[in-house]
Amino acid sequence: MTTSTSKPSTSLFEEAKQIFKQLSQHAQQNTALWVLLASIAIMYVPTFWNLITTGMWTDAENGHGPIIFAVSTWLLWKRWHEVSISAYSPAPAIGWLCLIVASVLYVPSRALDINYIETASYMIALTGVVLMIGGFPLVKALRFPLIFMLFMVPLPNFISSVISHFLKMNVSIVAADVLAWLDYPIARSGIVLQIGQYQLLVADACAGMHTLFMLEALGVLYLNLVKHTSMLRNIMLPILIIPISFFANVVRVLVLALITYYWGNDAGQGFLHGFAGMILFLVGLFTMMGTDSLLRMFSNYLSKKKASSSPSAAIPLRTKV
Amino acid sequence: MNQPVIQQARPLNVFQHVPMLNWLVLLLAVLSLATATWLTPHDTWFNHIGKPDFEVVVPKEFGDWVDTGDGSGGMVVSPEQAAAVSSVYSQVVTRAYQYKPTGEVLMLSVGYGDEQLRSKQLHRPEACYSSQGFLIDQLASERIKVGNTEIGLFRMTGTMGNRTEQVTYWIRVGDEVISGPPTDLNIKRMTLGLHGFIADGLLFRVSTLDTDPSKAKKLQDKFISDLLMSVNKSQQIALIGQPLNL
Repeated sequence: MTTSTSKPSTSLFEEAKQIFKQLSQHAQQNTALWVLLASIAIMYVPTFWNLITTGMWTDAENGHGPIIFAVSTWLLWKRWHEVSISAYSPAPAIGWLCLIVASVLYVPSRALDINYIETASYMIALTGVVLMIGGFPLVKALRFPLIFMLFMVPLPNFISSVISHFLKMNVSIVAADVLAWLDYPIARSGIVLQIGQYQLLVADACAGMHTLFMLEALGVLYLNLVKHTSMLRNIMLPILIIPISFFANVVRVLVLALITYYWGNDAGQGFLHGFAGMILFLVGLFTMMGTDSLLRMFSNYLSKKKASSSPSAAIPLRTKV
Repeated sequence: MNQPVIQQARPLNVFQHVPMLNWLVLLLAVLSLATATWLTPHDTWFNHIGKPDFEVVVPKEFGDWVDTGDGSGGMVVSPEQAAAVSSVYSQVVTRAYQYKPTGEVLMLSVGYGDEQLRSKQLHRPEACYSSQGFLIDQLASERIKVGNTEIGLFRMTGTMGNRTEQVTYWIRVGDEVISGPPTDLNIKRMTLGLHGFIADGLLFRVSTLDTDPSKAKKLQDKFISDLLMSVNKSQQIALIGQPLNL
């Protein structure tokens, strides 16, 4: 009995020891890299701590920040391992330039609480480290996760308020038009919808800046992971995500308006409010996937046509995504 | 894949294996963090001007004005809105004043944030009103004179359904009323930061239910000048950043 209870704990302990051993071996063999990573950590652990504790990364608009951070860090780690050391060609001078630029941006933005510049400087500092270790071949291999981190930069107020206001206004207009077309008793004043005896306010959180960025990030990530070769899909899908997320927000407001109309204010503001948020995300996701399938069919059709018109080109047809 | 040649345990003398350059990076990182921390302001402007309590700074009765006690002015505030307000401001004063000679009523709303961190920046009324469903019209800036001091005001008309509100407001950050575009607010915040102060932010807003802007303007300007003239220097500093120049 004693062995059976103690065994898993020992093996867990052994495993932890093993990982620690591997890490320390890695550190001994790549001390130069670890020194650089430690430098980055010294500068940016306080930054990310602030982003989380002051609410920048937990509010409605930038709530996707931590997820983007995790995904891009994981991708960075994974793709870094896919590059063979023999391909490295360190570019310390340009790496230094990046680090100095990052530091010049970091100091005043951190002191004066300008989080978007502070967060953006992290991307530059990381690029600097990559350049010092592996040079341009490594940066090329890691360019996607490095650029993907743009999505975690909190938007400056002067941009987010403009986008948010535009979305709010237009979501309200379209939602009111659709409901009027369906013969519901609807009136709109600015961003306030009056349906029956109820008044709905299309608030910031409902306007879907967050959805827009989350869907855009997901779409870009998806495109990169499946490694499309079709330019049409790679360019069109990110562009189409903008109207898709707008459409998803209209659906959300419509659902909320109808819930309120049929079941009253309490239903509309209660758990069904969260439910409508989920609908929004699912509608966005499925529309995005549907659009991508259409784009795939279209680009396959184009390449087939090209192949049949010039048989000498012999473009291998892609059968798998 | 070729393994790197050095596989055996190495001596732990890291200085041998790490290029000097990388140690300089570590130094750069430490210096960056240290400089940023050293430059970060720690004193609040709120402390600097003697922790004003705006319930007191704006008297309930002065000159010909008296608080009616009906602060909300008949406006229903949604709980969501109230939560948003309390997360942004550390002090909120809402009152309705009556002008004794004519009986006209004016609504006052003071929102004060003692630390203008990015996530807690005060909301400009034109954004606030429009997010409550008001249509904003005729937003304009204007300078009025109280004594010999000029104050940069903003005026606008908000309409929702059959409710028309004439609004006049100013924003103070640190020792200055900010009458320029919204970016001026950030610039002021940073200038104060470089002088070692965490900026505060005051939104002083008066409004009247009136369809006639010029009539409302007259009443509101009277209220503002009566208030500033009747309070003492430290109250003036809390309201407009500087003592009045008479």
